Amino acid sequence: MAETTLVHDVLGRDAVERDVTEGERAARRLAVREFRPPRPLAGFAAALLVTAAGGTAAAELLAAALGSGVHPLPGGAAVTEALRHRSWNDPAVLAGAAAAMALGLAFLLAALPGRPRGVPLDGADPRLAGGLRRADLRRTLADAALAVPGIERVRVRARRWGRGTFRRGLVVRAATYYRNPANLDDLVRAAVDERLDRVEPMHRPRVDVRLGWRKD
Amino acid sequence: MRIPLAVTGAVLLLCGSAALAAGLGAFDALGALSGRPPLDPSLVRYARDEGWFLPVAAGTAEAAALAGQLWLVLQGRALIQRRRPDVDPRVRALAHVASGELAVAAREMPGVQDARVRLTGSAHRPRLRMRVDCARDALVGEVYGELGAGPVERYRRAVGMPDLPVVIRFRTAAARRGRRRRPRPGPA
Repeated sequence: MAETTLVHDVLGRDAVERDVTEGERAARRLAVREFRPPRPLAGFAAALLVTAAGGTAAAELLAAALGSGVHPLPGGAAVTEALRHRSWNDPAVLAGAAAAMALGLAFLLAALPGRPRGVPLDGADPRLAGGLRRADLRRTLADAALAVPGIERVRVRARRWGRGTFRRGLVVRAATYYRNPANLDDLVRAAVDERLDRVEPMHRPRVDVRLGWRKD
Repeated sequence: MRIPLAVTGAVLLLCGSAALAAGLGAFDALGALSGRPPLDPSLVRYARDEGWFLPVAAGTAEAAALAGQLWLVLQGRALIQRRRPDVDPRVRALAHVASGELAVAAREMPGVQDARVRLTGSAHRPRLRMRVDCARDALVGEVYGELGAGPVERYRRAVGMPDLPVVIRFRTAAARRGRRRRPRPGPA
């Protein structure tokens, strides 16, 4: 009996843990999707381009298919003439090709997922996504560091190199007017850690504290 | 909307780089292509001789134009639905009342200064978007957890959408500059 209870206990705990993990994963997916930059301008420009280019080409090709010598769109005759008489190595054709290539590259880059617009918060509810703006997180951490007695100046920045923006960690540069800083850097680190505990980001950034003090 | 954007980008990049390569003489081994015009007489002749070519090309261009129009409409609809949800009037009325209650409940939480709530999206893909302004030292994680467990759940029940995805954007109050005055020694 006791063994059965133990097995049930273990299975139940496993199931609960599995549910929590799946919930966390789903919550993370929702947060990533919601905080991804939408880039509406690129989408709008591309849709407009496809519509305009497709419509123009369709009108001209249809007129040609029907045997009409008239170009239905203004400027169509000039473009056709230019395409008939200028060669591939003509500077204007090369410039047009380079422009198309650059535009295509810009659209491709805009289609990449990009850096999330906020720092997602930790949670296990798959229907809930929360986030804090990067600047706000930096500001709140700077505020925490500034509350340490003796600290007069603080600047929080993301580490220059690494993966992601907050996974790569934060650098807290603090300055004190004390001549002997003693364990102030530990106090600043503790204050920043405590504030991070309050915020509970999904990916906790590694915090590097650099302290400057008076040397006169 | 990223896949159509990526496809458009890839097609433009491919066509642009092929045209540039042709102009720079990369395909000259096939017969001095760089000196020929894009609308080569042989191509014009082929299009005239093959009866199917022009109608198929026109149909393809028309399909691309229609796809572009559909894409524009979808983007416009998504933009409008961020302002005004595409749900039936009864749900909209319920959401209006529940949004007010949710905002009040959020403002009563410790450290929360202001909260704005908006139901967005369509009946098939609804979203509740919240903006919560907090004090600098607010327990953001705790507010987030409590909002999700209580008021947001009540909102879902009120509008009859138990699986409604909710997105909460927190903001902290504008901080004092990252500088503090050093204490002056008091009078002796």
